[in-house]
Amino acid sequence: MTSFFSPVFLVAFLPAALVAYALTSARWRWVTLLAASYVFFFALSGRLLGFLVASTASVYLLALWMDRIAVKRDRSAKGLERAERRAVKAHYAKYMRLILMAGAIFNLSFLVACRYLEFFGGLVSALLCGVGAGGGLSLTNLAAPTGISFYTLMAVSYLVDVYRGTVRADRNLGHVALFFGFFPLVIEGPFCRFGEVMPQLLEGRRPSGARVLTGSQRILYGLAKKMIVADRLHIFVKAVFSGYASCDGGIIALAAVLYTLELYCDFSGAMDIVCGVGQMFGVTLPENFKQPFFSRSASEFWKRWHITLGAWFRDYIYYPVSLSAPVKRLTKWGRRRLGNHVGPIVASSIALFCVWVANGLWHGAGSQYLFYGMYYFVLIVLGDFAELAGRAASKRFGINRTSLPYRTFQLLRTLVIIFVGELFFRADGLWAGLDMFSRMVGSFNPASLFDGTALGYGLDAKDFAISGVILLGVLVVDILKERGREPGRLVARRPNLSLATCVALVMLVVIFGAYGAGYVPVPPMYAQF
Amino acid sequence: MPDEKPVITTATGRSGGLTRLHAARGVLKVAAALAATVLLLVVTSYVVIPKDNRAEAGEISAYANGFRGLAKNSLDVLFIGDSEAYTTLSPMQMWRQHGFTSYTSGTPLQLVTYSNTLLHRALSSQSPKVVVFETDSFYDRADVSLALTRTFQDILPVLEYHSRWKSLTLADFTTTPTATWTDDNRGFAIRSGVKAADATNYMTPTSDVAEIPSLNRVYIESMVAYCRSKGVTPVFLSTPSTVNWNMSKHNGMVQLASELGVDYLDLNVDDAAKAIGIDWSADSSDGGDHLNFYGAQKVSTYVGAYLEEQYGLADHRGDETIGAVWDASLRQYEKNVTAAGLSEDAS
Amino acid sequence: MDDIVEILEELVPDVDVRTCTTLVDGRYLDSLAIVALIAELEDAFDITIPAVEIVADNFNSAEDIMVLVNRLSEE
Repeated sequence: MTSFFSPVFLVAFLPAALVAYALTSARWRWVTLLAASYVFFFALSGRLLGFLVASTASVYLLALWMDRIAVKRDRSAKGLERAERRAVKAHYAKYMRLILMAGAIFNLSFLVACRYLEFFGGLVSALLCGVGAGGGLSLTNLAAPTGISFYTLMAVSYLVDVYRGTVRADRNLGHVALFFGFFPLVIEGPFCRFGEVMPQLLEGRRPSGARVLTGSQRILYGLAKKMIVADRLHIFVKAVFSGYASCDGGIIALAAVLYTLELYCDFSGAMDIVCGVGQMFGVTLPENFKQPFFSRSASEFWKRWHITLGAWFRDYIYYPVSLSAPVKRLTKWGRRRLGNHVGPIVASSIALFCVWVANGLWHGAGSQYLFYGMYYFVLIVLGDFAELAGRAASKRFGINRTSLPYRTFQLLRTLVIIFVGELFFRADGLWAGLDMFSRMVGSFNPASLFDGTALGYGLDAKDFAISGVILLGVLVVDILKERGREPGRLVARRPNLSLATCVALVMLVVIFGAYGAGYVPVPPMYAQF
Repeated sequence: MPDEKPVITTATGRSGGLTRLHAARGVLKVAAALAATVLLLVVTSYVVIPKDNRAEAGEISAYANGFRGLAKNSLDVLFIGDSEAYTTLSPMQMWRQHGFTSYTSGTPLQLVTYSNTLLHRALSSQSPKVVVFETDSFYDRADVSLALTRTFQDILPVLEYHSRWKSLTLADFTTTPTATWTDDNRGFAIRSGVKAADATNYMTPTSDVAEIPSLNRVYIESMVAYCRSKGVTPVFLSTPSTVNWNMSKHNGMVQLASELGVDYLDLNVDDAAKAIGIDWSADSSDGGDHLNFYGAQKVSTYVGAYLEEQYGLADHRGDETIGAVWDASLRQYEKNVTAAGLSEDAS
Repeated sequence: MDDIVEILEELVPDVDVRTCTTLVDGRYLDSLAIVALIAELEDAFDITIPAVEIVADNFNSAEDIMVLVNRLSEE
């Protein structure tokens, strides 16, 4: 069993877990979930489960410690005058902050050891080379357990939430273990908040036929996206990105577009499965996608794509940085000197910079990921300024910014930004990305998209056709969702229709899926992060 | 939850009965949906299954499945295995030298899960005296997902041949599958290159016993039992390879063979190795991973003689029906060998 | 309350801030604006708004903000 798309998971593990869950009494259902989750994690990562256990235990203990200090703090501060109260609270806050730092560093160090040591070694070596000193630093990453990039950030979020008082530390180690190890989350997230998910996990609702059906429907929809579209487009994308030197600009552009679609279908498909599974167990998990290609700006895109990652950065990097004393002072200075509109942007750019360095690096230890982060940082800051200018200009010249042509312009502009960003993201390194970009712009030849050249990279006309048909379906679904009419929910309300949809989706996946002889299985793309 | 079916909450007694009726109706609906799915899968299987056993007709691993094109019950020996099998065992040579009919059903990186499928397919229309399993694949771990997929593919061919949706014709809806084709080389692949192998650590003695993965073990035992149930003698064979074989694997096979009571012949050791006399500087096509045609000749000579003697195989040369068909293929085989720039020594 | 409305009107020009109840949910106040708003509120009312209070419920309307400010002033 390697992922949610494997037959063993769908046909054996999931039904077994569901049955076990249903048969357990409500009080103990969360224990069944915990057991199932650890079995799943062990099946995926074997002894590396130890990393998860270490993180869980550390966070559990440190949170309890912070909680104890918070209780002491509140007791000491009771009945005091306002100024004194603040001083007492600040005093205890210092200790809690130390514990928080320790916990964050401890957990992040595992992440660094498993994913960034090599990169760090390379940087040091490059530095030494640049300075003229000989030698270098060669480090190898430790073997990484599944989902370490996800559960580590969730661990930090739990610690911060306890520090801030958003949640109380949970006294039950099993609860905490379930939160970090809950099996739908362990491969690719979504990032969950303790306060939102834990109560649902503990509720132990009896699985109902309706919920299992709705969940199955969603799982099959995700499976269809991944197996029919993503795994199919993968063939073309892989061929072009690994041999781009012989491709002309048109083909490279097409590859960038198809990669973006592949990534969307793969990741959102996985999220559909994750949310569908959650539904079956009575847990509503947060959405990661909200029709991202309807965004009208880069910053809106990141509120519609991998939403929980953006939310994590916003709550745990953006706000803390932009509300820190020095940056707050800068904001005030900026508002005074540069006006109410420009001022805040300048100060928030600092916070944004931190966010985008983190976002870039989170995706991978490589210069092209850092570039990707900076690419969006620059575009978003420029976008903020452009928004101001646009607002001013539209008032001056009477341009209707909500008109269809203008909105279409914004949409297309954003799509180009997205596709170019993903080109760099997927390329084999920053230099390859820059090379591909220059080729794409330099030798762009739209003819190559229509004269059959595109059929020479592993996909024939029928492959493109079926991908197009399914993508059209996804587009229709997304348009409906954007309008507030959730097709999934509408179908789920009528069991006959829902069952028929499930049967249809199964047949679509079986017949048109890109699996079996002649296909190489594609692991879920975000599992590598 | 907004997407829940509305539950009728009336006075307890009535709601109890009504909800039970609801539940029963629900179970019936799900059962109907499942039945419909199975029915659709069966129907689509009939449609997409290749209507001939040629690669052009959409057959997958046509060479390995070429035994389907042979006359029913005309096979004396079946070889099953991965690339080690189809590069070393030449049925046509054995036909010429001993007159027994055989087929090498091999695919690259074959796993025991597929060996099992091939075995069942072969024994449904053939009744060989002996089935020889090349042991290289025994040590390649088959995982549960693959086994599950393979099992379902055997039951519902649409899971295996679904890609034929791209090449369906009207005939696919109206005709039944046939098998008209068989390989003139009988599944053997002629390799002409020469790349010397490094035999310095070849079969260095050790008392280690390599472990056979547990799922593989299950499949091997099942295949052995199936053979025996059909009156077929299973045999384990290890063909020469410096890259893929070593003493600890040999020890593992000796143990497995004795536990299952199956004859085991290892061409990498003792008298067999000496008799075959592989020259690692000339007989390998890729540095010790696989043998080339010359190595295959030596192996086939030895194995052919061994099988004939040990299992009393019949000599069909001169047989009217079988002899004619196989001699014709033999002519083609010899042409293929020459076309590859090789020569056979008439032995 | 008037101070709050004044601050809001500066930051969110397109909306009638006295009556709007979806300042956050309706995306009138984005992360950028919230940061500026918090800086102003902290200055104007001599309070500290900790990160735990940055939730939609506290900022969706001028009313909500006033409640928040009053509560934090007591602490």
